[in-house]
Amino acid sequence: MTADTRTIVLDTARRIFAGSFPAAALRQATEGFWLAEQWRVLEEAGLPLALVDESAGGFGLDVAEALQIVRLAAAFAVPLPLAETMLANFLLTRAGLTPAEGPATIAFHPAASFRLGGSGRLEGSAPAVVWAGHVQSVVLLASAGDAGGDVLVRVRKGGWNIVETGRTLNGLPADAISVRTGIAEADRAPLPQGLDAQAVFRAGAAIRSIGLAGAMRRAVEMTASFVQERSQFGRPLSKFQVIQHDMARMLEQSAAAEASADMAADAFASGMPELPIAVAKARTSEAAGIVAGLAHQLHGAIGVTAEFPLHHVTRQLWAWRDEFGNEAFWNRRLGRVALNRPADDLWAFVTALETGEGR
Amino acid sequence: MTALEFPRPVRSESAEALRQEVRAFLKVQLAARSSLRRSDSWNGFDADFSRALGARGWIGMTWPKRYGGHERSAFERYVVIEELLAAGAPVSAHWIADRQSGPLLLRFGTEEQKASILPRIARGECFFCIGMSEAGAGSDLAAARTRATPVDGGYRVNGAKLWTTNAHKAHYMILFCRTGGSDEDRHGGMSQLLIDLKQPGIAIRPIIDMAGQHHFNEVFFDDVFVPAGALIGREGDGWKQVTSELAYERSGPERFLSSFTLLVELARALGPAAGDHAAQAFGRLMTHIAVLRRLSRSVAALLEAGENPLLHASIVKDLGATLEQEIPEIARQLVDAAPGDPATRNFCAVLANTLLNAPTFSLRGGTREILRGIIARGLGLR
Repeated sequence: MTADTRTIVLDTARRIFAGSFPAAALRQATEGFWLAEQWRVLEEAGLPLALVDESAGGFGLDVAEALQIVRLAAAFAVPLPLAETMLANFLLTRAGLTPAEGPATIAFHPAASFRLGGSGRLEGSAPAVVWAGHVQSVVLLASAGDAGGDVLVRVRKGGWNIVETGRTLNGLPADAISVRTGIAEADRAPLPQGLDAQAVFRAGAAIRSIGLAGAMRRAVEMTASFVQERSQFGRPLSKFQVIQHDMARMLEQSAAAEASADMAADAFASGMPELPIAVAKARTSEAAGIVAGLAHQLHGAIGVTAEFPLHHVTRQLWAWRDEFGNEAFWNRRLGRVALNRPADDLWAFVTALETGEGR
Repeated sequence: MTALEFPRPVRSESAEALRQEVRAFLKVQLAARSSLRRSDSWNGFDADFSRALGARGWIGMTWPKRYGGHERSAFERYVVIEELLAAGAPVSAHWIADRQSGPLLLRFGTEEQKASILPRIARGECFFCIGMSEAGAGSDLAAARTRATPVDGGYRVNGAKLWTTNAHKAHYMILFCRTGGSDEDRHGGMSQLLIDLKQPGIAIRPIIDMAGQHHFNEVFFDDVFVPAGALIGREGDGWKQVTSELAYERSGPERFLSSFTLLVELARALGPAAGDHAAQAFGRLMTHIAVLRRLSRSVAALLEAGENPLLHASIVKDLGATLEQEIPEIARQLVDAAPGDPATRNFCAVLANTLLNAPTFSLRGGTREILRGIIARGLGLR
């Protein structure tokens, strides 16, 4: 990869996100409308393949660099399953399968349960599958019985039924599905070496950590602009010290989230070690609530209106902080691992955390 | 707003090898140090320890060899200082000289100042204090009134500095004072002088803190003669110089590791039998430390690249101080400690010591309010 490729890809992504997702489009999506034209633009730019090797159609970017696209998409509140398709394609190609054709989504909810019979017969169900009514594939994990372990499966459109419709906290369709269908051999493969079901869950947590950081950066930018434009008591809000200090707190949390997202991206690119992803998801999820709260406080009542675009960003924060384990889940997990070691080794545990050697 | 980037810290194999050396050294040096004394963190003063550290080449690590330094990278230095802090090593004697006075002299000092003083700092034999705050100039440093009046061959200094940590044990002070202009010209006419504290006319009065310890002092200057060669940098550039010094003062791991000994004792008290709530609360503290460590190493990378990351450093320090102050507040609720119970005696002693020191965490080196003002300026709001 050259620095040029990285710059070109990220600039292109930024331009597309900024140009294709105005407030009106975001509002349509939160009413359940599938932005088909915008998806076509993302696909033409090759973004859904950003995490796959060049030989499979990717840009040849480092995985950690390519994950910047997830951060950017979140900053523009892109209401399409781009991150989900990027993750699905990453897993599919690592497992030796072809990438998804068209938009894909993932069904990795902890309550999802799928069984793959010997003849390729798949049965099971999953809750909260984002955009299940509009994608071409659902990628999921199925248990293949005692010896088979976890199998990565691509279900093609028509292979699932929506049994109950629902919405995510940020307003996107997220439906419960049930599956009873045959799966061709080209659509199933054992998980790639070194990855198991928990690692796939951690991949989701890493993706969400990165998205949270992107959304927080945007919330800070929107709020910083707003407090400079809005005047009360004869001067811009930004001139009040109490407002300045709230803005400082937002930027601090956002900076912590960005560092956490970098940690998650590095871990994603190097085999999904648990502890750095635990840190990243816990810290970004905690920061998300603080940043969203302050963003709304500083925007005043206009911020909670459907028309003003702040909620597209803050609702993402509230939705994603609870997906793939919230801060309580990951902090508890990390605390358990830390407390199972001798107290005198605590510092060695901390210094090894980022590389995942802390186990 | 200006884009705020914290570059990815670089992992260096040589720095990781050095980490193991430091751990082995500390294991021997600190074998007899109690957890209570370890919890003094970087307030612990031990001149012998500083000399031993200097002998290992772990003071002035990044400075040029011709000034007694070791020309090692900022990352290697970072590894050494974070290991010292986490272990609760008594680093106070050389800490200020190594962290900011030495780098300041290196950048702005005269050849004679550098040649005569830096090698002694690096050997762990020469200690510094910072003469910034005054009775009327706390957060508002530009209100400093201590004045050095130009006279034949140098200056006459009159005034008083306050909250001067280690003035009673240090050899030198870097004095921030007025050399020209008027008291109304807030940033102009300020200079920095290298003060030999043995100079006649200097009186040092102790200030005992609420923990019963003597770190702070008040330092009086009564017509003290300071030779012209003591000027650091350029006369009148003091404000610019002092703000560049603050990035060193604000970004380091001492801004989130002051309470680390308490975390170790908390881990010991909780152990593997901890309940879910305790595990979650403890895990959260680990999470915050891990992220701060990454941010702080990122600032070290910016300093290494020759930048002045005052905004980044302010973010690290404010987040760090908030965490350091949270640690005792959380720890006290997780452990049922009865007075006199031998199982929790250490924990209680360390908790008490940390609590009594915690209020200063968000004061020293720049108050929370000042830092947030700097951050707001970085956002373009001021």
